[in-house]
Amino acid sequence: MKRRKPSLEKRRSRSGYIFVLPWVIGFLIFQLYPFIQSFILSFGELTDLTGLKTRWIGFDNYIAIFRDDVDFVPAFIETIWQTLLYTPFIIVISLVIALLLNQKIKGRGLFRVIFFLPVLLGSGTVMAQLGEAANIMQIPPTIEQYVNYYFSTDIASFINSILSEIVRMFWKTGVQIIIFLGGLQSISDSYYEAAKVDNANSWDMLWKITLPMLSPMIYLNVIYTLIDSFRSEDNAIAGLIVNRVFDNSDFTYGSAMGWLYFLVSFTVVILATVIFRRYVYYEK
Amino acid sequence: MKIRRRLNGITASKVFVYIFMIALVCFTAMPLVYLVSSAFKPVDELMVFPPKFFTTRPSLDSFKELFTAMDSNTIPFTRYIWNSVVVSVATVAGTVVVCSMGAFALTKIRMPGGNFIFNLIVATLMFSAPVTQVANYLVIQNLQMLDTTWALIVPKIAGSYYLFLLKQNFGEIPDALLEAAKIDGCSYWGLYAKIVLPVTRPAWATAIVLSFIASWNDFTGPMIYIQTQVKQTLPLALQTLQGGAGQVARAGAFAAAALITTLPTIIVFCAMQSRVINTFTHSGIK
Repeated sequence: MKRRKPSLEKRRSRSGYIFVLPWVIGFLIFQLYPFIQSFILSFGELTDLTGLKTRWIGFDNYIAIFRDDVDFVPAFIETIWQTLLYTPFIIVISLVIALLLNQKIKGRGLFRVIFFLPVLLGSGTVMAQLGEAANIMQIPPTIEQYVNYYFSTDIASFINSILSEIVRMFWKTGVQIIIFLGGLQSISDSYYEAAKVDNANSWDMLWKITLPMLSPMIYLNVIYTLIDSFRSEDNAIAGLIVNRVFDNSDFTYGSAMGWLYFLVSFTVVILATVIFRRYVYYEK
Repeated sequence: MKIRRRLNGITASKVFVYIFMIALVCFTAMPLVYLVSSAFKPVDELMVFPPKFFTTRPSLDSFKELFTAMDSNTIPFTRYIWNSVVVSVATVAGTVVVCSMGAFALTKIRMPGGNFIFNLIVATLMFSAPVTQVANYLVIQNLQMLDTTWALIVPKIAGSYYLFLLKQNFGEIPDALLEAAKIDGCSYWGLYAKIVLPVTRPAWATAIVLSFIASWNDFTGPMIYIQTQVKQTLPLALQTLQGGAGQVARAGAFAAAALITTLPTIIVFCAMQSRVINTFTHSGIK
């Protein structure tokens, strides 16, 4: 007797699983398992460093972070605050640059490559090692000198610190510019032509056509910027965790820190999602 | 009269745009210009303080110094280049194959549980490195991959970000195209290799660019997982060239090495620039 062939539906889903299997295996081993493992570790205490045996101690690690660690709270506030402060500015700067880049000017391709350079150069990791070149990531010294020359010390240092913050933010706009450019190029010209017939000026067109049409990209960019900033390996918290884990060999304590950080940053991202989703305009 | 008005229109807005752009370009391009000029400076100019921005006498001394080994126990710089190339090429190839297969299954085969997997991907986009760093180290240790090149390749292949990007783009392939091929007796492997991959070239070109940049510039991975100097990649080799006892003597070699380290990412991006922008157009959450 011949065995019945499995149904089309079954064969279909079987090949589906085969295609997605390599990714799922990698995901389970290198993402999900470490994620759960670090949660378990955060409630333990290392009893034997070589065998990595742990003992359950409940919330003691979490309590110790707030009670005993002088570095955690300042680093934590600095990271969260910096992210919340930088994100709106990064969005506005990259939007302005994308609007300029989208005009019909000569050398557009070249400008695009140049604005993506910070991402290519390793967003600081390679640059930070370049010694003097790292200083170039700040405001050019001549501008700083002029500011010092024309203003009193207090005002000059205030202006200079703002300028250097702007430059630092500017270094994080590469991907956002590209996302905005993609969005701008998908807006149909017919909207602008219709507006021109009605005598709209470019300022009106920016607010009534470009920004609403671009709102899905603004939303995407806000979320991307938040996640990118929280995930960044050179923020204060990440540095502190690497220090506690690999210099002090305190795996469980570092895990607790990581989880605390994850919970707060996750909440911020979810809140941003809920707030911004309401303002997104979708073309029907 | 008419010509003059047009000329005025151009000068008013365009000149402003150009000035603004060029001012901004100065900020981003300056480090690169400095990098290039430092690499070609003769050794005596590298020592000048304050450092000069441009060199008047370009020379290849730094490159010669970089590629001639110093002591008998020094590892040749070409070895680091080789290591970086092996790690990046293997990571990129693995990522593109594994993630595009997954994206194909999730968008075009549709099986029970597929949606759950996709929601999982979106959630894991928020996993941050600081959280899983410890546990990742333990996994690598248990797999006996510590201090091997595998530790830099395998964990990165199943990246959520690339699968997400590819899935958004694969969704735009018309189903009719695949149905037609299926009726002609094409298997899923055939659909994947002969239709999906050729049609979505811009999408995986982007995945290539992004995973290449991430892998090539990775500093934390080799710092944590690799102990043996011979197995190190370029970012760590740069650090070794800069620090340590021979710091002053190797300043030229460092400038040349920094240029060699940054160049490949720039070349890869320039080559695929327009495709990358097209892909982002279609990957927006819509």
